[in-house]
Amino acid sequence: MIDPLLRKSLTDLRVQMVGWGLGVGGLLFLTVLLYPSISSAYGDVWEQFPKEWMAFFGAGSLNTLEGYLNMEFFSYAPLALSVFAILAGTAALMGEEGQGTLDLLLAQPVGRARLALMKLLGLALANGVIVAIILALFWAAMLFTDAEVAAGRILMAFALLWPFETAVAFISVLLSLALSGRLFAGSLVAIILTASYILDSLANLISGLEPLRPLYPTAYYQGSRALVGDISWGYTAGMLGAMGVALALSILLFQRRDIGVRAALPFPRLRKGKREAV
Amino acid sequence: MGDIGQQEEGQLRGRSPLQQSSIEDRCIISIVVGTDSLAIETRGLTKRYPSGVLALNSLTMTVRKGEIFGFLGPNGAGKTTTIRLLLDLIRPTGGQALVFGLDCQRRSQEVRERVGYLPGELNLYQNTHGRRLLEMFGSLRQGQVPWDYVHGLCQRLKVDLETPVGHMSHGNRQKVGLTLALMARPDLLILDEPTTGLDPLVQRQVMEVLREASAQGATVFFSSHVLPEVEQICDRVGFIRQGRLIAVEEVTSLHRRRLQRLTISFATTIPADAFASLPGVRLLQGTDRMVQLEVTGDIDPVVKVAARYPIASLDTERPTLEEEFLAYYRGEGLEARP
Repeated sequence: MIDPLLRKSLTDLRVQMVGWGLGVGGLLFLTVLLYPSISSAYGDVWEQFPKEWMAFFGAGSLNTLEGYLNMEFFSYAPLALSVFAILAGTAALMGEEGQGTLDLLLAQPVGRARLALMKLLGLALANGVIVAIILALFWAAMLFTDAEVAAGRILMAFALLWPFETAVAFISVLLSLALSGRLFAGSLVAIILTASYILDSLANLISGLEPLRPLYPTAYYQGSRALVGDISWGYTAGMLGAMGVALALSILLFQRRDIGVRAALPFPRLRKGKREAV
Repeated sequence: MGDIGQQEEGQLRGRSPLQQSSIEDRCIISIVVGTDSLAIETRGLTKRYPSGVLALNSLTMTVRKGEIFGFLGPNGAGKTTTIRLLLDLIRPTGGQALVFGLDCQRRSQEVRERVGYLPGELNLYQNTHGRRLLEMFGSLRQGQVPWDYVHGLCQRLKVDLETPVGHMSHGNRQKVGLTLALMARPDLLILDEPTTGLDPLVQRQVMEVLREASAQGATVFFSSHVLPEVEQICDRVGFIRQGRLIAVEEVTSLHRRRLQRLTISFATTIPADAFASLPGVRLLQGTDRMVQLEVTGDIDPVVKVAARYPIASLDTERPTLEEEFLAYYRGEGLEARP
């Protein structure tokens, strides 16, 4: 039987799961449907684009569906889905604390570690559901095209979205607990990811930035390489490791923190100063 | 040990209320009664926030099993901090809190199995119906919830189970919160200002439910800043102010020293010293046709003196908790100001 806390976490995220899944999946659906016409009309034109421009977006050959998807979907999808991961991650525990609902929940005979674990597990499952919806819409779109596809590469690119987004969500949980607030933590993760995306892309053009790649969080999403190259499993392992560390530290921090009394505030929290339990 | 404890406690009861309520005596009571008969015990419980604010300063207090204990103090006195420490929502910076002999921090889950809690600022999941909330919180109690009792309670309190919490009135939300606190028939009910913002009818219902819970053996610990409410229902009252427990009183002794303010207007002139000789009466303002008096204790002699003259109007006013508190301890060697 499913843990009631996990069920609650998933229930809270159900609208967002479906919304993000259908929203991003819908875009992918249209992108795939447009592929045959774009490929036939502009395939050769793309080849004439500056190599630097193509390299920035990590694009391979646009004459293949994998190359096309890499540029038109997987170049931005991890970042777009990170918005959900950040919002849901910062809301998981600090959001409940901000709304004051954590008080009543923790007054029940529920261990803090169990609550935190179920919240994080809920986030991981929600990311999985979103990726599954997007993948389902991709295959639905494929029914309307006769393009050839390397199914293994496509599946791997989708599958790698899950640990990346889950790691982002867990790190958002961790930072929201460490910084005792959603706004600063969420902004920090967003800024780091955006800067990382730019630096990671520039590293394709500037050789000096290449050795620093392990420092760019977005480099740990290996979906693009799964589509048009070879996956670096070291990065994937690093991402899974970061996920595990963020999970363990989040639980530890949550167990040790004082739960604050807070009025219900929307995200972002605009009130100045740190509020305390009274 | 229990018999000896009760005997010694009985001897302590023979002393004056103020003597009985001194901090030293409370420590003695804590020792002689023994932890078996205590629902709550705090020893030097202290909470200082990282900002430096000392919210609770070495609180030593006991609440006996089965009693209704009012925890009284003005806003910001430390009532909510104490409750949150008992529930392990926040951690003490000093001292220890025990519930039924269990350490509130180290064995918090066992403590919370025996506690029902209604927070002062009740925040429930806005989109969730009352019924779903009861089911959800009930599922966290792992079979402890007697659902027949819960259904009966809901019917009696007329709890709205079909409306999302976000669309409920404050009173209805508070009823849901009270039902959540009572649903597992806990041994200890901790309620943080349970009647704040409720209309008198619902307030009465809440008080009835608390009396019943107590009659069935539960201990009730509730905070308030409204003295009359506490007087209605409690066996004992603890006064907290600026993070310090100032006194613990039997409610009967509170009645004896109740403070009231009377404004009496007369149709004719009255002697300036008409009320001067009455014990426990202080003249706040006076003209030849009007007096404003502060009366501590029995009001009957004042009414009898006033009745000698034709009265045009008589107003009574209940002072604030702070004023009442200061009046109780004026001249008793306790600090009125920090």
